[in-house]
Amino acid sequence: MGLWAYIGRRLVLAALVLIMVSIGTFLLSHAVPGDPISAIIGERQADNPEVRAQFERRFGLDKPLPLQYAYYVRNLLRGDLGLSISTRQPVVEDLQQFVPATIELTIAAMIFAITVGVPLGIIAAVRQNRWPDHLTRFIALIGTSVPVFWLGLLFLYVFFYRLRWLPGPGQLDPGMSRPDYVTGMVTVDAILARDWDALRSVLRHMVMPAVVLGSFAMGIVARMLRSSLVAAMSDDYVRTARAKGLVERRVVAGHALRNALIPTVTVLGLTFAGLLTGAVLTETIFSWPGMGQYAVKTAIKLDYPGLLGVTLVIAVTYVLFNLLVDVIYGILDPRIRIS
Amino acid sequence: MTDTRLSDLVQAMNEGRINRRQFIQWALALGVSLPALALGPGAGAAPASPPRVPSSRSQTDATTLIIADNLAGNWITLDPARIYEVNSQAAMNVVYECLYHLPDSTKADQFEPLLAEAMPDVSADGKVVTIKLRPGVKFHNTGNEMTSADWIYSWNRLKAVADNPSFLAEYVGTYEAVDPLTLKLTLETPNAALVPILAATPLSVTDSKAVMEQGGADLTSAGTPEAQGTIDFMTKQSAGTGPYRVTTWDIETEVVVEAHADYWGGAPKLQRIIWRNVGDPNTQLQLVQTGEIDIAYAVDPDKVAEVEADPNLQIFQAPTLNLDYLAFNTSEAVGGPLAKKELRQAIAYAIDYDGIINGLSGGASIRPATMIPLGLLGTEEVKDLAYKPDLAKAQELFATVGGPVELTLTYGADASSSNGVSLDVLLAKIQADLQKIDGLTVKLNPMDQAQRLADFRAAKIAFTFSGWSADYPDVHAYAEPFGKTGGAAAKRVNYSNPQVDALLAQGIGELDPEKRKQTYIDLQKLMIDDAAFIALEQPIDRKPASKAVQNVTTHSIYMIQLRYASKTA
Repeated sequence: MGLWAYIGRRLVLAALVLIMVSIGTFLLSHAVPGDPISAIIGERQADNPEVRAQFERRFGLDKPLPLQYAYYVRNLLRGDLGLSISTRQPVVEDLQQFVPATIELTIAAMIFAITVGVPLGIIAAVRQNRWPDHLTRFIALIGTSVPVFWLGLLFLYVFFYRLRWLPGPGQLDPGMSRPDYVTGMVTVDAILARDWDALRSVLRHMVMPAVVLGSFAMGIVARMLRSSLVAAMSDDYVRTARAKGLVERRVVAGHALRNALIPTVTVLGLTFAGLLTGAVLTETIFSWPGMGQYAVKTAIKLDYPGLLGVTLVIAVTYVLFNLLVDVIYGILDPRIRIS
Repeated sequence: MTDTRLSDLVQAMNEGRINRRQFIQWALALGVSLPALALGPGAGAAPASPPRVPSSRSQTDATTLIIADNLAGNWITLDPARIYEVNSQAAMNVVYECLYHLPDSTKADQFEPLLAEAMPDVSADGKVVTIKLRPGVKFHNTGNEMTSADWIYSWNRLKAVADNPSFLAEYVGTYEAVDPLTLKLTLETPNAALVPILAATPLSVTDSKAVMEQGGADLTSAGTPEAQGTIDFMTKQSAGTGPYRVTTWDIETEVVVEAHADYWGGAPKLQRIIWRNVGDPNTQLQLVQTGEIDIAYAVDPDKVAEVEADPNLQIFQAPTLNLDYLAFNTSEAVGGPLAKKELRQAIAYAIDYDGIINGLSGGASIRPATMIPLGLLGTEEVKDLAYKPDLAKAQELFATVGGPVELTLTYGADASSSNGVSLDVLLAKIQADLQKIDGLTVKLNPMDQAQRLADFRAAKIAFTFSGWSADYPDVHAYAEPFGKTGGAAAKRVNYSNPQVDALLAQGIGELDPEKRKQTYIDLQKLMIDDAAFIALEQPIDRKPASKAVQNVTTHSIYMIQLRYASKTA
């Protein structure tokens, strides 16, 4: 099967997965005991049927459940995810704001994880069982075992509060206007608008959350790459490469690394998806206006439309990244045939 | 490495004697690890703010006031017809204006005219109220002149959208515009709390022309759906007469209000006020300590001493009108043994209130005698009648109930009291206090807060912990819901006392302040004895701020009084 046919087939399957996810989430969220109106109605109006009816009508909760789902699917196909009960804004507008912020933070975290994790992994493998290896193991251990909330608070304390090298929580400096919305990612929008002050500000604000969020992935990448590189270095083709008289740098970079990267890419793909959907603590500590905070808020308030929107984004993310990883597999190792 | 050597290094770097690279080299040479840096000066017993270096990237100056608050968790809208949140009242108070206002909430009876020209002219029977409007007031979004038609539209809209604050419109009776600058209110019965009610922010005035231009219908019937476009306009912009107007509304990052130069009361002293979304109180405090922001909305009780010791900081504090309380269902069917007044009184005598206030809340609370906060009419007079710990008395009352009793105390899981104490901790203490009564067993039942509220409102819970905050600063705002048969809170515990009902009807219609006070004193005595509710604490609000901030106070309704705020450079 050709690559494009494979991608097409996977996309059709992805659509089915998303339909199942939407039904599953819809039923599960409505099966949870609790009444979303109770969470938002004021103490004085709790028994006022007129106010309750107004809220139910506004959030589409006044119809029987099957009809609510039918409306939900109909609106979904029109690109309308309904009105969020917690923010009282259209869910699509909320997601348009929060998802790009999370994506840009996750990309920054992954850049950190790769640029630090890959060299550490290589150094550890090449200098196996010597002090660079031990140091890398220590750094990786810290990255994977230190809780994100603790690391986040520690970074804020040290780099913002004590040393003042980096700004405090938030995405931009106080009072600074966001560049005009194009992609929703402030870094990209600032470049497009040539707003260099905003770009500088968002980059400075991004350093700490990106490092904190990426520290776990960095540790995983370093450890994973080290072990697969160590295994690859003792393979026959590496011995052949050395026998040909290649310098060690080319043996590692040109031959062993390429093969050793395959399991790392799998992990990276799923870690990226995990970071995208699991940045709740980092976003909360650094007041980063991303999807994680939104997800928590919608869950607490039993905000069905918001919760469904978040779940769909997460499902799409996982489906896409699984696909992406499979495609990259084939590119890295042409022997792997897609079937 | 000692703390001193580390702080010397930090100081050297901050003073520019060494650069960052040298700092790291020195620190590494001295064996400093990251955790050691974090546990360095200031993290232990001797708190010390870092140097307040003016930040080149910060826009903090004498014309901009910056406040950190958990916007994402606590703000939804500034639309007067829909607002029912507490924290955002600080912004509401400077963006929209009412006929009357309360400049200083520690003087809870000293209301002043705001958009009214004078205090209301009330007819002899107390049922017809005439209010002259202040001339020359302009809306900050359009420059349109405010008239009585705007008031009629605003109150109609409040009723029609039927959102959380719409009940306030019921108190103003029927209303009409006598002329462009005169309103006439006709009440079914006299209302002594009318002025405090008219000071509630949902009853403020909105630019009717601007709202209608955004698709807002001329709303007349309750429950009329409003176009999403109108809701968006009223959420993301503002259409009031206040000294500031909303220019940025993004509760995940910040809300900005800019000064209205043409304000009827003269241009405000600040150019803008910015609210930053910062959830964690400790981070809010760090931002104040570093000079990045001016006021933190919240502070952990154990950080108060650190703020008070800091020469660059001040702390604004005053009692709130919030209450944390225990509620007992007084019906036999739901409350079981709690239907007996003696058991409820025994519980009231068994609680160690001082332990809660001084031990758990760090002294950041006071306690009224019953469900009417101190500071309101007639509360000081009954303050000493509050139940005090007396185990012998509790045991004696419990003996009249007969036999061992097992109660279940329900509360919202993962919730906290009004001043931030975890309910798991607070209620474990109360459980321990109550079980000192021989024969009484109390089980704790944490449950989903939304579900607990639904059950409590349906009068299905026998014994629960709950909270209440002010709708408007008047004794009746508490006496009615907690005292009146069928009142919003009373019906949840099936509480009914005809004598209290009679006094309530008398109190709300009594326009003589002294006679009115006596009515509410009598009423509170009955409520204390009935013990359907036990007030546990009335928190004191504390907000750390930079010393540069001036003319700001905490406020029981507006949370932070920013109307007169200014800053020194």
